[in-house]
Amino acid sequence: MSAITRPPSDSRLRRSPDIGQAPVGSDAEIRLAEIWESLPGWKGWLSTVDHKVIGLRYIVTAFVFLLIGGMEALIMRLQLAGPNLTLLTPEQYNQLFTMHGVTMIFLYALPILSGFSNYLWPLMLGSRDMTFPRLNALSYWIFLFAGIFMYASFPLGQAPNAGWFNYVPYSGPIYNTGPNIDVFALGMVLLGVSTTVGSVNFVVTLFKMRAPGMTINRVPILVWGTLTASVANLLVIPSVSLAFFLLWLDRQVGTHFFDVANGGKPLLWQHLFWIFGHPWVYAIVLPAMGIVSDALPTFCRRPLVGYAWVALATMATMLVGFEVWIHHMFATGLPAVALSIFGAASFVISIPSAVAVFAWIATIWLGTPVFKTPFLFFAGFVILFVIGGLSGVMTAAVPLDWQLNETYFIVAHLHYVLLGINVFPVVGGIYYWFPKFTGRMMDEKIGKWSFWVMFIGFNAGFFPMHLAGLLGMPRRIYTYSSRMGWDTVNLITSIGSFVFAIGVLIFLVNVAVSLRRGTRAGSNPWDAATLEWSVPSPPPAYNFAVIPHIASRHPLWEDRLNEGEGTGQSSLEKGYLLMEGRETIGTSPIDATPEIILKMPGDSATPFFVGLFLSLAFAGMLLHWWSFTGLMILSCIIALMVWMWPEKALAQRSPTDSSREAHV
Amino acid sequence: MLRTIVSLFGAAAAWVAQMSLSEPLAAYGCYPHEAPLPTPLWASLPAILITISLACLAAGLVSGYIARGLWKQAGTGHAIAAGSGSFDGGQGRFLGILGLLSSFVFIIAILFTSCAVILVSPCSPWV
Repeated sequence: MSAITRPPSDSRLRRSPDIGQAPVGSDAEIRLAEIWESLPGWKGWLSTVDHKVIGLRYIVTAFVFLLIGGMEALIMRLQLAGPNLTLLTPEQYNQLFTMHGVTMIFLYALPILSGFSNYLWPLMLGSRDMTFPRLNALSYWIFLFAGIFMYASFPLGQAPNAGWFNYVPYSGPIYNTGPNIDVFALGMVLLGVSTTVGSVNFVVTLFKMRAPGMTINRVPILVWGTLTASVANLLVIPSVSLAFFLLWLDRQVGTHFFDVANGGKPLLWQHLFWIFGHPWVYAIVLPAMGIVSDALPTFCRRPLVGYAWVALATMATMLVGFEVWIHHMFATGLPAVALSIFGAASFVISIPSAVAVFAWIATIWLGTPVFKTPFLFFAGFVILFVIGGLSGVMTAAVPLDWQLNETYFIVAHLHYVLLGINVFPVVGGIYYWFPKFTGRMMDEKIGKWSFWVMFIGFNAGFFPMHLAGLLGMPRRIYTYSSRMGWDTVNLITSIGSFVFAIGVLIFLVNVAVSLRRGTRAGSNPWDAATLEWSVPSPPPAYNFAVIPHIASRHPLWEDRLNEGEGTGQSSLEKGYLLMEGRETIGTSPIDATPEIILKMPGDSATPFFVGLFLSLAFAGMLLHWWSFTGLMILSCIIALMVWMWPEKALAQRSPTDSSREAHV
Repeated sequence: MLRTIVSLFGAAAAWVAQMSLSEPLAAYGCYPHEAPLPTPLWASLPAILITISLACLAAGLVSGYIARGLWKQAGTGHAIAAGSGSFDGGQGRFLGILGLLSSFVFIIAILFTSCAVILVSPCSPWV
């Protein structure tokens, strides 16, 4: 059905793509594998741009950060388990809660979703890679280096210590004289580079790299979620990068952007930070909601109820999320109507959120649920989403927010939202896609144990925090008196947090056991509907031997759903072969009609070196080694030139007139 | 194409405009310099805010009307000029529904924000 539509522009670059089949073991398939596989050994390890490898690296690295952040939380919970404990000094506690927040929010929550999306997008969209594979590798390396950068001062006892939102004037040069905040400020600017290039890649990939026939109404919800988050990141990362850069200038150059005594404005920090911060909160939950929207129907044996509603809810949540940042600033003394406008906007978010919740519930209700481990995590997520959402609506009311502000109620809310809406879908997603990642199933019995222990531990740990907040316990205190009446809730919270940690440990044991002894998985062990399950597990380096043609939203369920009527059925075995180098097809943004043969770049170590030199330049700025900084920037430019050096083989090809008429 | 864009983003843009105009005006009107004021800097501030809300509501309704037309058009089988229009895989109807839902959600958002403007006094009376 799909004809290549864009007229060729340069006759020297015209080509007729072959249409055919490439079954496993055929000459064509073997040739494709040779073209797309990375070199063995450390050279291949360093230079690979395979989206699947990068995706898994993201997931593993982010999960390591989750474990580090989790251990920091457990130490804090030991300190708070009873009154007047002295396990930690106040300064150690400051550094721990700051690094816990920084780690979980910046180094775990979004990167792990980037990992899922990096791995899954081309497979879900029917492409052979992301649009910019080398940019993808750069995004990962900078994320890794930024994480190491932000932890560099931790062993020296000089970690960031002003909380993850780092309010001035406490984080300014007068009250915070050590290198703690400089590490955080420069690390955040560096991390912003990673997030920005990653986001560009996602946006372009959606609009240019879908398989022919995958019209805009047929993309999985995970793709909508990540797209929305990526667009948001592109708009808000400049705000936070600017905020941290201005703070660094205040601290190191002597500017006065946030210095009250010299006409600076502390509220400027709060605006710049929360213009970024609130959309970021949605950026780290919307792709996770997408994971649930795509995977839950597999276990309900029916399509998602209200696909268009959920897609719209995803985008609307993000859009509304841009205009609610002042609800983090209700207690700053802004005029009443100014607060009310943002309170009203915050209430509006409950509409798209409720749409999504009802869509999931209806999918379960109308389907035939199969109670496998991923289903339990997704169903558990829905419950936690509702609890976290309700406490969010409560704090959208200005008068109530004034009572709850800076109490443990807020800590409870944000953990229900961030842990409940991110960690549960992520762990469920790992159980779901583990067979695709590794070719082996995870153990069901251990999986169910891990869910129940995590779910009970989570609620035992975080629900009492609501009560602690209502009892008046402020957040960020390193200890408390036994006369405050907070002993019992804190003890229960500490016990719950350790139970939750045991649940995570059981999950990790399951991963380790299943990697070695898990049952071998076929290409579609869950009998799922989406395109990634049409390729072997784990997928070959080239993803699809032929570029598939898509005729419905559920290409693997077309027979049972009678989808594709009128447009024909999806063609997964026969399509464009494209094997003159690394190639895939570029399609139009809405209709997904083929337009161009995209020549993809090969593996290269230059993204690693660009990331390394850039990170070292930031290290030079931190240490005031200006010559070294200049040298690293120069090295970075040279590495970029090597990366970008024109190659004849990478000139994009326009299909010839005859092939434009070809139908897949 | 223009109608599709208006149906998808028109009401949302109207709401963003309402927020982006009302918030700084309300904030500056009550807190222009170093100290908050008990009454607005301009006596007509409530009227200005209500006018902005009404204008944005009207823009949102226009967007909703266009979205409804596109949705009905897609429902009756006429192609929407979404992209090249080379074949219809349901994307036209999908965009029509998306535009309708988007307009609905953001008209509600404009009404919510209007309630805040109408029901709450502009400046904090206890200052």
